[in-house]
Amino acid sequence: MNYIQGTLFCCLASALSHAQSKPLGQLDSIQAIDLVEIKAAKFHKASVLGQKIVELSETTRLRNGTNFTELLRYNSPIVFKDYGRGGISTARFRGTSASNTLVLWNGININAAGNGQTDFNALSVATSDQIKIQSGGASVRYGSGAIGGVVHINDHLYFGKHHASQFFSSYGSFQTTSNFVKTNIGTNKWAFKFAATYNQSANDYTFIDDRYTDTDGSLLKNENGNYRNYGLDFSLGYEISKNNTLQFFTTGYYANRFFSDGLPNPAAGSERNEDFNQRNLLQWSSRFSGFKQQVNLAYLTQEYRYYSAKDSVDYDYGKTVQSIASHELVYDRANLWKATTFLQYTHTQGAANAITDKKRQVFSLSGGLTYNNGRNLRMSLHSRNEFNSDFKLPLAISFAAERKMGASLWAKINLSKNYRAPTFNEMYWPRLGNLDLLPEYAQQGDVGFSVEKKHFELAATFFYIRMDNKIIWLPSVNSNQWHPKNIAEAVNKGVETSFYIEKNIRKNRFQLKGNHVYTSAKNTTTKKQLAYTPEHVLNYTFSYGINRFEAYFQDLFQGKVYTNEIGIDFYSLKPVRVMNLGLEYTLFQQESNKLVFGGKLNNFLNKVYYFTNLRPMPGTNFTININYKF
Amino acid sequence: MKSTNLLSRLLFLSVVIAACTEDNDVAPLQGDFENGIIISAEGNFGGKDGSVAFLDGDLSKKATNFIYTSVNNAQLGGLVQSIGFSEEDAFIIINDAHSIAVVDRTTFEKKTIVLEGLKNPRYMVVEGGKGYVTNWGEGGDPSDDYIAVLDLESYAVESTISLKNGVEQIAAKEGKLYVSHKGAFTTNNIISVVDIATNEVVEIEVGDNPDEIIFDATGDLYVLFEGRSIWNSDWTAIESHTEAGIAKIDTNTNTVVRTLTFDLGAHPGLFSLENDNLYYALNGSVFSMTASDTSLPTTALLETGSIYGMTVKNGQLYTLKRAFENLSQLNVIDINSGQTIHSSAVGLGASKIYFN
Repeated sequence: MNYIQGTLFCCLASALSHAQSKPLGQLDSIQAIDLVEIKAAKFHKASVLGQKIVELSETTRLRNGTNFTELLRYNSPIVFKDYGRGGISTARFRGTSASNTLVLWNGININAAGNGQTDFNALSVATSDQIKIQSGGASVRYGSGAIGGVVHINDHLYFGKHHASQFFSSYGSFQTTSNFVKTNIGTNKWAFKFAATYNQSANDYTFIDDRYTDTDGSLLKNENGNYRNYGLDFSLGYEISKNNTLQFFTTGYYANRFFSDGLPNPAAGSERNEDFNQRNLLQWSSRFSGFKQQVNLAYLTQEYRYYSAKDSVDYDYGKTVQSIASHELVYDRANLWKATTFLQYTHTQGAANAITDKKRQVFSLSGGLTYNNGRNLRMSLHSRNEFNSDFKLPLAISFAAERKMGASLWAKINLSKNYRAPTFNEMYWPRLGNLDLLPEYAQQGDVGFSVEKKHFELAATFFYIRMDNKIIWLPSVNSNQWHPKNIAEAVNKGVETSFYIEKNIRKNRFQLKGNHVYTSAKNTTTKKQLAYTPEHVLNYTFSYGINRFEAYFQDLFQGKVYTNEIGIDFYSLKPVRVMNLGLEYTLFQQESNKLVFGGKLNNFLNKVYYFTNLRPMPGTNFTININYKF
Repeated sequence: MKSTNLLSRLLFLSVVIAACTEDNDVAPLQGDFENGIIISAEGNFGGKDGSVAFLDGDLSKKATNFIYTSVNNAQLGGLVQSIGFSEEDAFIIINDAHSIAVVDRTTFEKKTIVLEGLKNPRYMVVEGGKGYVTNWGEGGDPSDDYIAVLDLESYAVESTISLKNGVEQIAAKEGKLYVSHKGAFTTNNIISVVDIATNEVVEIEVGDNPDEIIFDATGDLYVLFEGRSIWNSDWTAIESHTEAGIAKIDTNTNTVVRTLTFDLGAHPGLFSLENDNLYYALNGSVFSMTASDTSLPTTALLETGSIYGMTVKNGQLYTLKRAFENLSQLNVIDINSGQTIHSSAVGLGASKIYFN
């Protein structure tokens, strides 16, 4: 702790001599810029009823600014399986699978068409403006894969005369650095955003599990685990008229990662992977006589290059190109009834070195009604029909209702039928693919309540998911080659809770924020808990602020997980408990200027912990950062 | 003051909770693993969960699983491909971790782990005081396959012998190494014979994808080549096959003296020899024939279902059956009566049986 604080104060002292400080009372003020904001997500907000949505604040995001996996692991109900720090990382809501977790960029599905998953360590969100976590099924709105939940990543454009920029930089153990710059400029007619991010790490941390050593008896290190990635965002908005707005979003991302081999022989690691992702979205929003309309045109490319020998020039690749066109029409009648129709066409083309090009076309037609009496009752009924060139898909349907039961107490229900179509890999992977797969099908429900007060929020939901035709990759009887099969039926049920309490006592500011999930996810045949599904997950951040200081404590508990469905201890990972301490100091904060220094000590108890077998996470490590808004 | 108290109390509470979440380890075991059967289990591919089981020679008790982990309080940490044995030691070959765990073959206490000089190690044989380990190199690179020569005193790889693509099983006799070339990620069709003294290599062509090799009592070598399936360009369907067969190699002349071939499309696997009887597995059954037979048997000896490991000892057939996401099953079947005389659950993906 001491050396951390020492470092921090050195930085502060030098900065203090240059900067003019402001009265402390301004700390509580929010950077208020009176702007007209158009959010892609806001457009659909009313159709999400009866579900829990957690939005991550900027403060939260910067406290776990090194990677997206860590950010969500400490601040959301999602459980991750990652292959060591920086390795491939996949997300699971409520004991469902990685391909039942949908990631949306400005409302567009960006899960890889190859495996239907998102690698959260190959996605930079530093420059995005909003991250929201929506638990529960949402195929009626987002189609295939929205079973466990949805992660929304949104960019915002602001109209109105303004100029706002942000610079963030962090440096820490294992030569890890994360940086971004972001600039928003606007006039009454134009809105512009530019952002760039750069992240890298030598990632050569010591494996502190002393049961494994080299031949001399010394601890081993994470070799071949370094990474480097960068991203560029550019967005432009033009207000054609009061009721017509055009927005264009584009983003590019490149990552070069080496995959560590973990224990017992990290020196054997030789894999390397490159990712090239590019996304473009043109959006036209308009309003006319009670109607709201949005047209989206998107073009996305994703490519990976995998080198089994890092120095080799030969690689395996997978590449997909997606073109999407959609139209949404909302008719709002006296703010009481709202009717929505949504049409979407998606064309996906995928190629890999071992197979010829594959194509898939999806046309979907969805619509629904929402009722909101503005006082104590909201209801919605939606359905979606999807025509997929490869599969016959079930009808997705959802019914949701929210009823006010007291001053700030709402009772909520959401019932839905959702699906996931088999992916290109599952169908066409050389030798292993299975052309006879059926779509996964889930029937699910949420029943819960929420209390929303100014300094207190509590939301708890009981969930139930019955999953049929679950696709699982299993080794075949005569080899250790894995094939996808519609093998399992599963029932996942549990309780998901989020809580938030804030209290100010004189100059002392206290805040507690966290999530807890209890999950029982069982294969209906074997009655065994599904792999990588802890019964209990708890994360919370407790922060204490006084004057310009903000100290916080992060705590993560993840119960024991089995690594397969045999259900014996040999094939399990022990419960994980990790605690971090952080400190922030606001040097100054004015109307449009803010400078914050931060420092953090991760895993300060130096615990050995794992999220996959024998791929250890780091022991005690630190980061320091600077966040400047101007 | 009040606030600092709360914070420190919360911290204290957290530490207490953290201290309580330690899980119990696999119970320590002090073993005598002589006079019994050692079964190696691959684990799931990529799962780093290969293991070793032990079964008493008199078959009176169920097998003890995860013996390496119990004795050494650590996992092997990879796909256990096979085990090699010297007089004193067992060499547990961890394929994807490119390493070999060296243990005392009686106590299974770890002596060391060979971490250097191996790349996709497959099988090992001990001859003339040295260990010889076949290595694919990069599985996709057909030109970097080799034998690593292991010093049995220092447990270091002291030299290598380059061989053609896809080295697999290895056997030794009178200063010569016999290596089958199954072909790694692709295919091959030869047996390499290496003279240890001169490093001279002779290649003998057999059918496609030779895997298991066994010496008979006279020192001749039987080779089971599995044949291969040829896929369409899209990898969605098998277009054709090459023949599988059993080749007999005269080790004095290094020539194939007899080849029996299977019907096109049949791909036998697993191979054992006892008292001049050869055993192999095909399509859920085990077949048996006399080594000197000039044609393949048409009827099965026993129906076993799909099996992943097999061997014959003292008139008893040992089979390993793989299950989906479950432990494997070891069955011991009396060949004469066809009765199953022992069954045990053994580690996930169990594949090899050794008599210690």
